[in-house]
Amino acid sequence: MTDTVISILFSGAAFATVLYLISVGLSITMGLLGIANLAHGAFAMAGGYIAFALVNRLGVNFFAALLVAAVAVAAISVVLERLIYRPVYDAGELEQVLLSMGLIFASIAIAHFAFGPLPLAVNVPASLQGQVDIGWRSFPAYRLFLIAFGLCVFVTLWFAIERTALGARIRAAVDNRAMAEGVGINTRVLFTVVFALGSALAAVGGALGSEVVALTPFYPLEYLVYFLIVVSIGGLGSVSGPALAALLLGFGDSACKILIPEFGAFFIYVAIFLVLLVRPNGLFGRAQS
Amino acid sequence: MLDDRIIEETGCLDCVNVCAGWGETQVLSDVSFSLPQGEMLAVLGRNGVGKSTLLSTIVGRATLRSGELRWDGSSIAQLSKFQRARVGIGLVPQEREIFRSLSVEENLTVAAQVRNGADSWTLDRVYALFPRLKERRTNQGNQLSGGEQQMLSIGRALMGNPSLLLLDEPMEGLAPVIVEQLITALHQIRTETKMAIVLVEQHVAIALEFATRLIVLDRGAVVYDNSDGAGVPDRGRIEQLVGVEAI
Repeated sequence: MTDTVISILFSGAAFATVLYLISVGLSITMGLLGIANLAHGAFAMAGGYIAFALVNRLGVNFFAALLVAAVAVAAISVVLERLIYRPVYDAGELEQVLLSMGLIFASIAIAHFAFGPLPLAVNVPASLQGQVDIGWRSFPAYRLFLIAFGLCVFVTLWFAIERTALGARIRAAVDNRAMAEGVGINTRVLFTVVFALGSALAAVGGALGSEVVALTPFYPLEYLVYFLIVVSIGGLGSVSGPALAALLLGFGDSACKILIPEFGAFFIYVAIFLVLLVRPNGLFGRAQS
Repeated sequence: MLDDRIIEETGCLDCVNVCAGWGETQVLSDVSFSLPQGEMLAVLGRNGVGKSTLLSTIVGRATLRSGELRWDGSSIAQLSKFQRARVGIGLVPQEREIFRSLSVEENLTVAAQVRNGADSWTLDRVYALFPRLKERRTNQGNQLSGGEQQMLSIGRALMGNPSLLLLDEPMEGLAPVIVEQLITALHQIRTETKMAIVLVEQHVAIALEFATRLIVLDRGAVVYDNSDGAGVPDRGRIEQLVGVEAI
């Protein structure tokens, strides 16, 4: 019994870390400009495939590949933001949804062409292979590293958003964009910076997480629901909301898969349905009244 | 990029035949006035005659459909909202619009713009003006009373060291004791800093306490104009036009 609970918590936390790394940028950019960028998962997939190509095919160091993937995806995202997203900022939600769905399908086609349909994972470095024995039980070293990494990212982001001048500007723009501009904040530049950072984090999530969530061309579509659940339960424009939401979703998902695999994710969706009925702004968000 | 020179100087505002509104709806028609540097203009009128729209047009929230807006001789009509804030236009909006997830102190520091000059506003000076804000500096923006929010909104605008301060009914809905404090603070701001101020008011008595330059708006047009401040304001006529008696 205890063993099952620990398994659920451990694999849930690993899945939650991947979901958090990918979704937190989406939460903040959606909170900032109200843009529904459904193609955010494509940035995660791109990061994963870039790291895969570098590590598995070219033999580049794992951590160097992570860095390259993050920087490359951030650069790609800024170009897309300037060229493709900017024209639809002032358009309606339908245009934004159509555009980002189109980007998802384009990314699926490119991924399929370049890497084929089979699930792939970035090779884990030798130093993180095997099990770590912590006395009464052993855990996979890589997943421990993944969870610790997620914690570090959470603490860093929390500090950056809640305790720095840049973070205060981001929160001000999420609260009231017109007033933020009215005190001299250039919200467009702020948005580009956050968009780039959010995409870089997604790329790291996709690359680090490929051991938990395998890379396939349909990645951006298959996990879109999970990213959106984290954002909608966690609330827009928040750092800690998506973290708690990702943990809830990770634990729930792995509990369902381990205890009642025949129902799949059925109970997860029911729970989210109920939560959003009662709290349409999510559980932890900076809800706009 | 904007010239540093413009930011350092104290400017003056020219509205020339301003027609403006929201989306397809036109609210203001042919509003003209000129406000020299360091002077104060009161804008009076009933609810919904376009007083707030006038301020919104100056800061770039509402759409200028025709006419000209000049700041220090150069047009600001094409500048975006944040650029207008950076040339020195500060707004205290009617709804106060405090950043709710920022602390009181962050609300002030996030708006700080440094300008040269002996009379520039700093965190300490804003706290000296409103000691209440210093007591509540770690509180979140959404934990403040109406009066504290108004003090914070004014303090936040001052932190930008504006040369033009736009105040939209700052006394509205506040207890008389708070109104007294705010009037004292406004007098203090007037004597300590040389900035142009546009005060939107519904109460004739408050407007006359501060300004001899005033205009009255009705249905988006200027119906009484003493914006050059030359004559003594005709209180009886103004009260008749505004239609509500002062406090």
